[in-house]
Amino acid sequence: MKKIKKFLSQNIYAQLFIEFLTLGLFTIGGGLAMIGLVKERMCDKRNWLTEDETLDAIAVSQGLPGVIAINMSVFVGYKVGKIKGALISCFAMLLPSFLIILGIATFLQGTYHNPYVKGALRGISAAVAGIIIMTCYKMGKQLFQKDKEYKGIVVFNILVMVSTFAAITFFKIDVSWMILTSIVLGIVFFNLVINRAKRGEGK
Amino acid sequence: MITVRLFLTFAKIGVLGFGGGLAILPLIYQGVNEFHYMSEADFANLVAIAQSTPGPIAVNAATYVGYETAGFLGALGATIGVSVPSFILVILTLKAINKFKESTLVKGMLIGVKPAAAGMVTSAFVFIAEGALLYGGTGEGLNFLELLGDIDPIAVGICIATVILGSKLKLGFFKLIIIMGFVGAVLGS
Repeated sequence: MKKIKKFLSQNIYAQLFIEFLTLGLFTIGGGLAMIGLVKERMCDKRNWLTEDETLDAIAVSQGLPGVIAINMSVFVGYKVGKIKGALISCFAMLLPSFLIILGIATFLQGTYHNPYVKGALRGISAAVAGIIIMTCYKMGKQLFQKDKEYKGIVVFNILVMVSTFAAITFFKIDVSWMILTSIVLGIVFFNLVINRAKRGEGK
Repeated sequence: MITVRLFLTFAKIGVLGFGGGLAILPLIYQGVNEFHYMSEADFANLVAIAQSTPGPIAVNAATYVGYETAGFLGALGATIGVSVPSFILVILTLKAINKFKESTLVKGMLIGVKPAAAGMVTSAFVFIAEGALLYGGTGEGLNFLELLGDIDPIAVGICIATVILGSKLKLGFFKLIIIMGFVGAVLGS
C-alpha cells in the first residue's frame, strides 16, 4: 500500500491516468458536465492549471472541433507531461466510456432501464447543474476583480462574458464563432491598452 | 477493412464536429447510415444511452455505433477515430500558443478568450439545467407557464442541496455526485 502511495505521489503519468479515469467515470451528461470537476481537480487540488489556464483550456476545448472532453484531456495531459501525458490522459478519459458502452451493448441493456439506475442518473445530472452554478460563480468572481495589470479589463470581461452567454444560449450561435469573435475583441482591447500606455509614457 | 472505414468516418466527424457532444450527434447519424440503415427511433435510443451513461456523449455514441456495426474492433476503430483529430489539433494549438506567447496577438487573444470561456460555462449551465431539472428533457416550450409545469421538484431540490453542501460545507464535487446519485436512486425510482 505504501509503495503504491509513494509511486502515485511521484509519478506524474500515474496521477494523470487516475485523474482522467475518475473524470471519465464521473462525467455524466457529456463534456460540458465535466467543467466543474476539471476546475476543482486540475486547478484547485493538483495545481496543474492556474485559474487563467483553466479558462484557456475551456476555450480551446470548446473552440476546436472534436469532443470537448477529449480536447480537455489532451490539453491538460500535454501541459503536464507532453505527448506521453496527453496520450495517457486521453486513453484514461476514453476507457470508462468504452467499457461501459460495450457492457451495455452486449449484456447490460437491462441495467440501463432499471428504475434505481435511472433515478441515480437523474440525481447526478441535477448535482452537475449545481456544480456548474458554483463553478460559474467562482470564475465570475475571479474575472470581475479589479485588475492591476490592464485598465478597463473588468468592464471588458463583463461585456464579453454576458454577450457570449446571450449569443450561445438565446441566439444559438455556434460556440466556435463566439470564440473567434472574442479573440478579435481581445486583440483590439489589448492593442488599445498598449497604445494608451505608450502615449502615457511619451508625455 | 470495415474497422478502417469506421476509423476514417469517425476521424472525419472529429475534424468537422464543432461544438462538442450534442452538436456532433447529427454527424454521427449521417456516419452510421454510410454503413447500414438505422431508424431515427433506434438512433434516439442510442442518444438517450449516450447521454445518460458516464463519459463524453460523442465518444459513447461512437463506441456504440462502432460495436453495432463491426463488434469490438469496430468500437475500437470508431472511438480512436473520433479522438485522433482532437489530439493533433489541441497539441498544435498549445504549441502555437507557447511559441508566440510574447506576441501582442496571442496576448490579446488570451485576454479575449477568458471571459468568453466563462460565458460558455454559464450557457452550459442553462443547457444542462434544461435536461436535468425539467421533465421530458429539453424545454422546447418557450411559454413561461409551460416551463413552470415542466419543473422536476426533486431534481431542483437536489440541485439546490448540492450548491448548499458544496459552498457551505465545502464538500468535494466527486463526493457530491456520489451522494446525489444515492439520493436520486431513493427518491426518483
